[in-house]
Amino acid sequence: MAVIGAARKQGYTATSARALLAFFLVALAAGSTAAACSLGNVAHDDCTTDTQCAAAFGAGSRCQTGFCTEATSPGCQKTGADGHACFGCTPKVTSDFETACTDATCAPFDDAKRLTKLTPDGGLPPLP
Amino acid sequence: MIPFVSRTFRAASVALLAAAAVLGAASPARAGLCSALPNPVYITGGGKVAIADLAKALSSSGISLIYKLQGSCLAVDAILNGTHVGTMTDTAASYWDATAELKCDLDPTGVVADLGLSDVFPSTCQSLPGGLPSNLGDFFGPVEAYTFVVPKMSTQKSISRAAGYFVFGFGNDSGVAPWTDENFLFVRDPSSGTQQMFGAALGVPPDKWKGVSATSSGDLVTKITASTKPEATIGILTAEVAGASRATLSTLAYQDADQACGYWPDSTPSGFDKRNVRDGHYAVWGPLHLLTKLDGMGYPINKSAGDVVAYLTGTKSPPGGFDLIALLAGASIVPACAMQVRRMSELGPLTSFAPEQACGCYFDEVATGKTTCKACTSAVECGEAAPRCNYGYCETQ
Repeated sequence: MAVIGAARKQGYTATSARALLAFFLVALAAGSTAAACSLGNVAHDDCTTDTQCAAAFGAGSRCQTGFCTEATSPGCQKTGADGHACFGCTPKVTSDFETACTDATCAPFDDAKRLTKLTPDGGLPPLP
Repeated sequence: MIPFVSRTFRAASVALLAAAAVLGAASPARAGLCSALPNPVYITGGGKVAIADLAKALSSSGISLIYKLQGSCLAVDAILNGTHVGTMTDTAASYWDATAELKCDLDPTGVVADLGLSDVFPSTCQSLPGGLPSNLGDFFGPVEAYTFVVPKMSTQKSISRAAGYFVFGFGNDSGVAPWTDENFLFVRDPSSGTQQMFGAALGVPPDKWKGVSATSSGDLVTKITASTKPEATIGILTAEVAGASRATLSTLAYQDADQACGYWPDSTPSGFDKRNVRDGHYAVWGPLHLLTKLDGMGYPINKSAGDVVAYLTGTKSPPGGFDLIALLAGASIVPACAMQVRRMSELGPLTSFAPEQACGCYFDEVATGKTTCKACTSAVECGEAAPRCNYGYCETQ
């Protein structure tokens, strides 16, 4: 319930908060068996980058203060051949096109693992 | 005493003769002033691959396309501000006969360009708070994608937008292994369209890039290929140049901020279909901008320059059997008629795009050697789902 409570504090709906809780419980139970860009790789119940949220919940889901926001069009989220969330409706906006379901080959870059200088909230520091 | 001078003189003579021989062999013979050629149309900027073949096709029609290679922003400046192309010390330009590239000399005081070819929107190069002046036309031509490249020996496969921000914005302090040594980050210069485009994509202003500057895309290919630390090496190129360098370079998949996985411009790392550019999965691309001055009615002042615009945008069929789609496909460039998405500002929002005379099927055929589309000779052979017969294949419109 702490997750839902925290999610509510962030202004998320009860439905999305429950979905998040369910996801985190499944992720914890599953351990680290999911693909590289999945939240299943996160050892605790929060996110650190938008990429993790997009992979788990679909386009438009962002990591805000440790929690994934809801995807732009939750009803259109499907799981692609590569195991990542993909957009399964007719694309209308940029994030739909970029994440539309496809059989094209892709190669993930794991920001959470490889970027060592993100700000504590997962953002980009200003240029020097 | 005398023998020393003689030896020196002889050595200098031999060196000069050798240099002359090398230069003579390396560059085409000069043919005098460009202005002496019939109906010269002065073109500057990028896009040489398309101009070269178009110029060959036009050579028998009495129009001479004279081309001076420059960075995109210099081409914008040439058209927007009328800045002369060529200088007292740099007058060499190219033109073409039916088969080959030739050289001519621009007027030593420079010339006013009739057509500028820029990889980026003019507003990316210069502040234009009121938009383009009404007497300047920006016509969208074929689409070029921009890529991160690494040596063939590198094991790296992808890079994210955030990683690119750190690598090229912080250099030695990027913290993104293996790209943590500025001596092995190969960049262009702030006027380069490629650096402008990636600057906009990554949020790193083009004049703030860390790394070793290459003088041209060819120089960048050479530098990356010769790198002594392949794993630490990365650079930026157009898909056109990267595509022509596949033997020695690998293109990285690019993962935009919204994406959980990186995509190549093509649907596979070794493909040629540019499918991810055409459908919006690959983020860093833009149309070639054909810039020319307009008259009061909105038509190009230089009619021949207007014809070149029409040929390159596909609104007019060029003479001489010039197959723009096949030419572009072979050069890893996408004609607008093969795109399914478009954008109206630099790396701006994507929207669906259904070109009037779609050529996606033909593009697939010439780029990859195959297509799933139905071949046709007229529209009556096409079904309801794809009722138009374009370029020999049934298309939706």
